[in-house]
Amino acid sequence: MGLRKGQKELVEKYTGGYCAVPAIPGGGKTYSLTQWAAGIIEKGLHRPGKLLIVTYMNSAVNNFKQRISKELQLRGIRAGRAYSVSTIHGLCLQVIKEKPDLVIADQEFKVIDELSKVRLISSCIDEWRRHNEKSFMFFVDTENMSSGKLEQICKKWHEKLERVVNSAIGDFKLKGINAPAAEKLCSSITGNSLLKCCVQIYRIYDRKLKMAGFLDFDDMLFNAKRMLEEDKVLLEKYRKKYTFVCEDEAQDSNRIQNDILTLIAGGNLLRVGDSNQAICGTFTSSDFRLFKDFCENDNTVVYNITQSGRSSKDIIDFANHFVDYITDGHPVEKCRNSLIKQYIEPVGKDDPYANPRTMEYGVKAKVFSSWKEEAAAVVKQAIYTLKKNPDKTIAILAPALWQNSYIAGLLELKGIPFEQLDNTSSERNRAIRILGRVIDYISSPYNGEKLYEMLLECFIKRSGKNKTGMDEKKAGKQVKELKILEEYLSKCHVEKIIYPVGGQIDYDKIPDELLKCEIWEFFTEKIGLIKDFLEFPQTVVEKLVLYISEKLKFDKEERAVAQKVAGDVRYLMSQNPRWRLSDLAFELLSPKNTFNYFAGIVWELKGYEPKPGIITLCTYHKAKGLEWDAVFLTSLTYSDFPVNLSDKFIGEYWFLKPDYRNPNAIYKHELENKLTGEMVENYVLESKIETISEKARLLYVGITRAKEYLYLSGFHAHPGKRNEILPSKYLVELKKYIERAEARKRI
Amino acid sequence: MGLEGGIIKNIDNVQEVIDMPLKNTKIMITGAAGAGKSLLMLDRYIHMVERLGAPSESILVLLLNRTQSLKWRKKTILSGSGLICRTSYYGFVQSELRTYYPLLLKSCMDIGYRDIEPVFLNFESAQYLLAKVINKRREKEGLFEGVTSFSDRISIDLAANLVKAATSNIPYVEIGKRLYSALSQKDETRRRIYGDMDSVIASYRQKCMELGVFDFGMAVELYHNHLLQNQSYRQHLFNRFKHLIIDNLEECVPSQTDLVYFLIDKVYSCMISYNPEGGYGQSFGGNREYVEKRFSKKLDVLKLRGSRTCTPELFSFADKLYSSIFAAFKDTGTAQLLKTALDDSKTGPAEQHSMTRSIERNDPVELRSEMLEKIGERIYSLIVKDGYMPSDIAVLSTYADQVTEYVLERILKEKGYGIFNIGRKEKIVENPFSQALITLAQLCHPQYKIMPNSDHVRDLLIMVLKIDPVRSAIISGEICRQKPFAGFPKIDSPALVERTGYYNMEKYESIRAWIKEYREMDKPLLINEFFQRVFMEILLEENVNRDDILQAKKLIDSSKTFVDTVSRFNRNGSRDFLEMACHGIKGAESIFELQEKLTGDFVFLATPVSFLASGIESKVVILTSISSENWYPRSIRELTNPHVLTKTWDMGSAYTEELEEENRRKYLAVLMRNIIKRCGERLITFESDISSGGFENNGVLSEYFDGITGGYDGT
Repeated sequence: MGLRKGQKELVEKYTGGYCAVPAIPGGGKTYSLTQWAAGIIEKGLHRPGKLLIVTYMNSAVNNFKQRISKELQLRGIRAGRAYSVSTIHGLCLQVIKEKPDLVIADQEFKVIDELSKVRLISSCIDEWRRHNEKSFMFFVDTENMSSGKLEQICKKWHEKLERVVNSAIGDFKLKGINAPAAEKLCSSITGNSLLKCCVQIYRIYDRKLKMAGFLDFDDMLFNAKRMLEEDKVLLEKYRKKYTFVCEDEAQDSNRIQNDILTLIAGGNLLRVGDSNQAICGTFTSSDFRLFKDFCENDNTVVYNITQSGRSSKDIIDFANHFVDYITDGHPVEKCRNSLIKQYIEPVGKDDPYANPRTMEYGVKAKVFSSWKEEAAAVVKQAIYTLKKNPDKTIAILAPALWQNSYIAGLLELKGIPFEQLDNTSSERNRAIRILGRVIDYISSPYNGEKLYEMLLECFIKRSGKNKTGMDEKKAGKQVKELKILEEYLSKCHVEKIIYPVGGQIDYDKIPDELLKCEIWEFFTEKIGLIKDFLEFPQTVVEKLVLYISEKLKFDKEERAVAQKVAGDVRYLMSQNPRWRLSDLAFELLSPKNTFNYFAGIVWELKGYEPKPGIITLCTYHKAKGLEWDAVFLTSLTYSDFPVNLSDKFIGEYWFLKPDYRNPNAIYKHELENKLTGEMVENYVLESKIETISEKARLLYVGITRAKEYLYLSGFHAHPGKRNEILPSKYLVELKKYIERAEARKRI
Repeated sequence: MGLEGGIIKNIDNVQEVIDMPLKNTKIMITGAAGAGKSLLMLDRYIHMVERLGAPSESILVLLLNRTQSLKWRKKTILSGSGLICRTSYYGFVQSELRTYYPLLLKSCMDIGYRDIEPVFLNFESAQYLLAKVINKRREKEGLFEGVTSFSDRISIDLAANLVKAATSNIPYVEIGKRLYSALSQKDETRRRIYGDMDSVIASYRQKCMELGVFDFGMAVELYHNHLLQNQSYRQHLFNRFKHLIIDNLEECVPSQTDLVYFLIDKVYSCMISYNPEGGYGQSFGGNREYVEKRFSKKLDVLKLRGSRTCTPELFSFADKLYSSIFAAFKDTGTAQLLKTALDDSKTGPAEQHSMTRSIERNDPVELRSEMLEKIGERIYSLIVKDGYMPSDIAVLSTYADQVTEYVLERILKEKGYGIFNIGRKEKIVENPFSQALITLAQLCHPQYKIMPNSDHVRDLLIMVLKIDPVRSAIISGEICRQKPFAGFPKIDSPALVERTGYYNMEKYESIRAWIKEYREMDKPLLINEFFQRVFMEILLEENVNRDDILQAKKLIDSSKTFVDTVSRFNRNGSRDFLEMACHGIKGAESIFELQEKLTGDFVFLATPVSFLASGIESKVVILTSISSENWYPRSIRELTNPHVLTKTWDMGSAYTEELEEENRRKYLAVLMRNIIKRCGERLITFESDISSGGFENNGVLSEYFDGITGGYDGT
């Protein structure tokens, strides 16, 4: 493949200094970076150090690694150690692991995963509430509330407060303010202050986190930066180690990451990104202005990549229209700069990878009356597309994970193959679930229901004895048999089957109906194995876990997960000496658990490649960097994609007193005020503008994932009622454009 | 090398050294790892006793540790000898203090409780007591705020600091101050933390002294500063020992070095082994630099050249790797020392060699799990195809964890081979038999409020009632449901009897009665007595096997030592023991077990240091995860610095990052050189891209290997 405008300059000209490559979606960033990296290595310009590429997700890390390695192979170069690809957290961990004592941490410190962090914060809020219940309740709008309702609300507020505190701790840490300093900073605050509450909980969190030997992700960033700044020897070492630093997805960088990479790069810094795809601000305090500033820096050479062969002309026009709508016509004037006026150009006619063409107009939009109706229609249309175009790749995007799971449920019912791109997806966590089911049964071996669940998960689903791929008649028969077995096991005395007195099962006590089933024979064949599990010594749980994985013949990836579980069990058990097998089972069976992250890494090593015939489900955020022939953008409602300031916002809680409904904006404002002394008049408004802007970019990301077909949908639920949900104004506006464009094309 | 000064000779004929006369033979044997120093000393010892007629009780043999002691024990079964004085330095100090306690009391007034025997804390008990204090004060007073670490971990650092200070004759009150003043980055938080350290240490130590309970550090201090100063003790000492044999002087702590130095002039003969390339024991307080300073020109030196244990290729590779790790290292003083040490080693064969025969590098795989499996398969092929014995093979892992152990064990077991992990001690509760005893203890002592877990109760029932896991679980559920504390209920409901089976009831009833009777006693037994009784009255009837008897004995011994110690602190030792057991205290090591494993045909799994300290010589050494950062650890930790707590540290100077970098390199270089020189024929490396935690491996060791072998990437 030849090089296009912008790509060519990068690959041929860039050999050092500051360089920025703003690239439109589908512009071939990974391709051109790969070509550039291979070129540098081929010429030996990386010596004496190596290239460092920092990117966002582990999947991208692997993708880069594989592509560079392949390119080098093509060029006949063996240079596995000439480049490193890492996530920013991987890089920071590497820096801190060099000298944990400098941040007063034990060498074997662990990094707390997001889920455990939220749990820890929750326990800190509990502890805090024991002495501060009044402060906790102050924010709740208790007027006209029954006591039953109040209890429910308290639970809700507790959950929401976890998020607020989590975000506040992140803000403090990224600003380099540790817990005692935060307390000092806020010591003068009197009266009820959300910031003060956050600080008090931060203090408890800090103590608990440290006593448990953990650093969180924010600690890693902050500490790595501090170490590089303070320790000249260390910085020098890293500068020597990495001749070039290249940052992918630079629009999602945050201040600290920016500083770390600038420090290490020592002058040779290449940044690739697209300001219009900056979508991480709400979670990670990233700031897309950093990339913009870098592009505008006098010392930076800029190569623009503006051509893309990804999408059809219809979709390119649609995306460009969306850019125009935002920049010229957004109803909130302050939101008009959320996208920069940058158009996608189709590639030239002679390009070997020309933009795809479609006969009919490829963009559609529809509004439904509820999420359920929308989901059902989307699934129906997706299946239709799948059957009609078996060679096309398809994805359904939704704002949140629960929506993904809901759609997954619908697809499962219809027996349509799908793949879910998140760490909690059932496919990725199968090994964890299997371990969970076995351990859950071992912990209560007399419980027939658990025995059935284990059989189902470990043997029936695993052996392919479930209905996928079976004809309907067979599948129906199996469902019936399973039901009989389940009914019997849940009521029987398990010991009489697993360990019958005299060694023989008393068949007289077993219903004939069951004895006739194929599944009964299958089950009895497994009894020996079940006994093996029960009789394996349980004093060393890590060995039990490995034993199960071995007996169930886990594959390579599953074994890696089992080993991770085994390794962590030791740690979990030593932290909680009261832990029982059932607690471990509970953790393993929770849809979100502390092993998801690792399971995700292992899964991502396999790499994700959209496959025709399998529908991909993911969030808008996870879709970044990917592309499919047909893309469904779902749940375009005014809460998920707000446009007007009056729209309902996620992050606003109706059960709080009117002045406190947007707690995130409030504490942020209080903090800013403490640090700078400035008072922002309308901080809630500012926060809304930020949210609207980011969601606009998120939708832009969604739109630009599609190659040939794009379906937009949302719903209008409970019209006229208090809980009314309106479709997003974007959907309404874009629908009009689509109708016009479609008519034009027809003519 | 700084030790030279007297006569320096190469040894051409080992027998000549063995045959040297009993009087006025005061020599130092030097040589690299595997040169045959220990073997020579062993032969000399046997010769002294059997041929030259030296009474065995007049020879003091100081060895590094138990494993080495075991090797001697195996090989020195002497005909008609008397008492054998072969021990480690700590063992020696303790036994001297015990024997001469009355003399010690005379010169040391700080010790309270003067009428009773002294008690010596092992490292774990010392750490447990410290952790108790630290955790409480951390929660209540906010001590150590800003430290990211468990209290257990902090207590390990503190306990280690005490030992290091004592062996370097640094007063304990100065530990925190000394560490703080050496920091190159000082701030208020750190100043406070080190102040907290001094405060905890002072109160802990004062309490121990009052109670006559001594940890390693205190024992060393008492021995050197009090007992050894006593004239009549000195006389006893000189009268008893006429000959000295000291192995691995380079790994000795400074106080041991001083002791050896002090004794040399008083004895008729001494033979000391010294590896100029050694020094891997620095994290335990070993100080080779101090040894050199002290022994320079003190003794005649006899050099053993080359290596008895490894091929010329590997020998030369070890030196190359050593210098390549050291290449970037600039400092002149230490560099000179090391350079000469390096020159020394060049006296060995150093021909050009091809890396392929002796050194095998395996390309990195993605996942650690894959790597472990590959290692297992490789071991198997080494045994089956290449004809190695399992015990010829040592697998070195920086963690030697359960997962590695299990995966290798599984692969080897299938083929009929076993593995022995010398890098890890088993926890008490990991043994099913010990766990059962502990669960029973919990059930019998509701007053301790340590509720047994129903999984453990079920395991207990499986063991004593010999019934299946399902029925045991049903009964254990009933037991744990009892209020206010778990107990054996009377099982009279027909439904329950029907489920659990009539035939089990009789046994159940007898145990139930036993517990009931025990609970009704006026005063509970001490926990060790309790275990003894359970063992005699309940378990012995069940056909217990030899392993279980051994386990029970270990448990009884461990708990007795623990109770004796902790009870002095006015704590309930029995309760504390149960609590600590649940938290994962490790079991006492049985020397018989160790011996059995060391002499059996097992593949060894070890950490690098445990491998070197054990003195095992392997034909094949497999290095795992060599791209892991764990091979290149920091030599300092958040609350300790082995270089500052030494006699050779220059007070007033700052411990800089440059110095740390130098020390780390030195450590890795020394470690690798010694490991490879202990490797007889083949060195095999494995690595994975992703670590067990899911992060990328970025360690330097594999890059050093690449630098010499060309690696898998050719650039």
